Amino acid sequence: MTATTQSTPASQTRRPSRLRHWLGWFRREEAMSFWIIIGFFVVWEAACHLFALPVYFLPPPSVIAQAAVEFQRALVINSIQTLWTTMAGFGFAVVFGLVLGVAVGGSRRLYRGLYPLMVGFNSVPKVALVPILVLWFGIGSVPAIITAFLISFFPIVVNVATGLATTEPEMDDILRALGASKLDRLLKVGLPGAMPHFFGSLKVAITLAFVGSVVSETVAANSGLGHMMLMAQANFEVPLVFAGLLALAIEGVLMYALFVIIEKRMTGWAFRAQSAQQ
Amino acid sequence: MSVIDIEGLRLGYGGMAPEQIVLDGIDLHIDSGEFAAIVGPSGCGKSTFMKLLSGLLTPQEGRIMIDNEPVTGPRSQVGMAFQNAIMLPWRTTLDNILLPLEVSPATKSDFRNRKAQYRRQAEDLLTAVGLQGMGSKYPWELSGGMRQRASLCRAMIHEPPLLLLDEPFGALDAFTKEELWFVLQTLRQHRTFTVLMVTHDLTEAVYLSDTVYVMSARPGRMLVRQSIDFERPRDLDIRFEPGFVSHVHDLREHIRGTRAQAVQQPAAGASQ
Repeated sequence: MTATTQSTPASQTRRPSRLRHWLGWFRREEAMSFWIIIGFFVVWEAACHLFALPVYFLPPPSVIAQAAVEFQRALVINSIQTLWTTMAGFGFAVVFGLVLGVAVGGSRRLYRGLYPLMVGFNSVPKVALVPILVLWFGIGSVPAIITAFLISFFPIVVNVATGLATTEPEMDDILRALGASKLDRLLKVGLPGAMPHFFGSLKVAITLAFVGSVVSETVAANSGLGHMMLMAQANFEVPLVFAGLLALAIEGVLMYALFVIIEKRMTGWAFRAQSAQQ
Repeated sequence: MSVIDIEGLRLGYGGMAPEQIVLDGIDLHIDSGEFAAIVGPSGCGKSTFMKLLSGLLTPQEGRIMIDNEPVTGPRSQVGMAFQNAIMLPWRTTLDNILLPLEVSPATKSDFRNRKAQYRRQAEDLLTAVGLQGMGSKYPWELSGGMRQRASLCRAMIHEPPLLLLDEPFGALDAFTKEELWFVLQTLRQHRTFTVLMVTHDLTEAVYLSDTVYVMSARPGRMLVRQSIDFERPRDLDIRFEPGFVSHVHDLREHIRGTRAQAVQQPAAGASQ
């Protein structure tokens, strides 16, 4: 009697517990973003049907998904085009941003001299530069790459310079008293210390680079997501315009996630050092 | 033979107008192997004085000689440790300690070839300060007292004849402080070197030093030189003996005097 009463609850709890274990992930903190995204699309879909919005005004996600399947070839080709111009421009921005950031962060004279010019450059709306770039380089990938570069280098320069400037003065005193060269101080202390700032800025810069390349593609290009969306709009294929936007958002999120992983791998010490101090 | 010889040292920040003078006419002689402490009211230019000795600053007047050679710029003959024991968080404790050897022009060129030997030296130092086997830990894994011990090791790794300490134990609790006094004495038993320490703690100054200097409020001058001749090694309980207490008391009175002067001076200037 006692044996059976003990065994039945055990066998009863086993099945739900396995299911609960499998469902466990969806209850965790990491799954919050999953639920929010699902909820976002559900509300969108419901709103479209509830207010009977016409498809050419705001298509529901289900219609967008259909359009995405229908035009999948165009979507994939143009996504790859946008991805490569963005990454090329971003790559130049990383190299140039690092070099200029080190120069500006290492020398007060350069900092004071160059800063107004850089802020000025950054304040110019990049969309206004595209016609000039087209004039110089013609329609195609080059203006998109250059626009992505121009829009994304500034946060990298500023962050590298800031990272270098925040080297602790006592550390610098110790090294200078030892007769360490400026190059050694930069390579052994300054640059490694600036890396958290640098990798942090990459996350901002990569999303900006997408803005730059798509702006350029929308004004003057014959391929890329920006161009595709412009054509779709002209043909009144509104669901395809939204599919293009979603493809851009997905690319942006994936690249952002990639740089979060790289940041954690390269400068894990900064995160651990912080958590140890708390 | 004196290690540090300073004569007629004067320094002003930005110029030599009376209000810019930080150090005004300092003469100082510190013997080889001596432990000297400088105490004084805050803002009297003690840290500036340390920068002069390490060659990071040059005075407008007077001369500074270390080992009978004038100090004209940074040279690796001094080791330095500060109140804030900053370590590079991406390097292990051992690699942090080896940093001076890695960048100092004297050892930089053959650092790679002699790394094994240097590592042994660093590990010996770690053992001497009571951090045996902690070299592979990262700085954030160490407590404040442990970090300060490691920072002492870093200051000593290139075996400098002169160690400059700028309030090295100021941020530590009383017990850790006492442990580190002991560590410093142990290190000096291994190898004789000269120490110049700036501190606010009069007990610490008297306990550790052979000579204590009292500095005046800005512009800084050396007002009093007090010899402390208790036998070494000194026991911690010496702090409660009458001789020790009267030393501390005397120093306190001198500093109180300079503080009172510093308050009176601006008042006198305003009344004129």
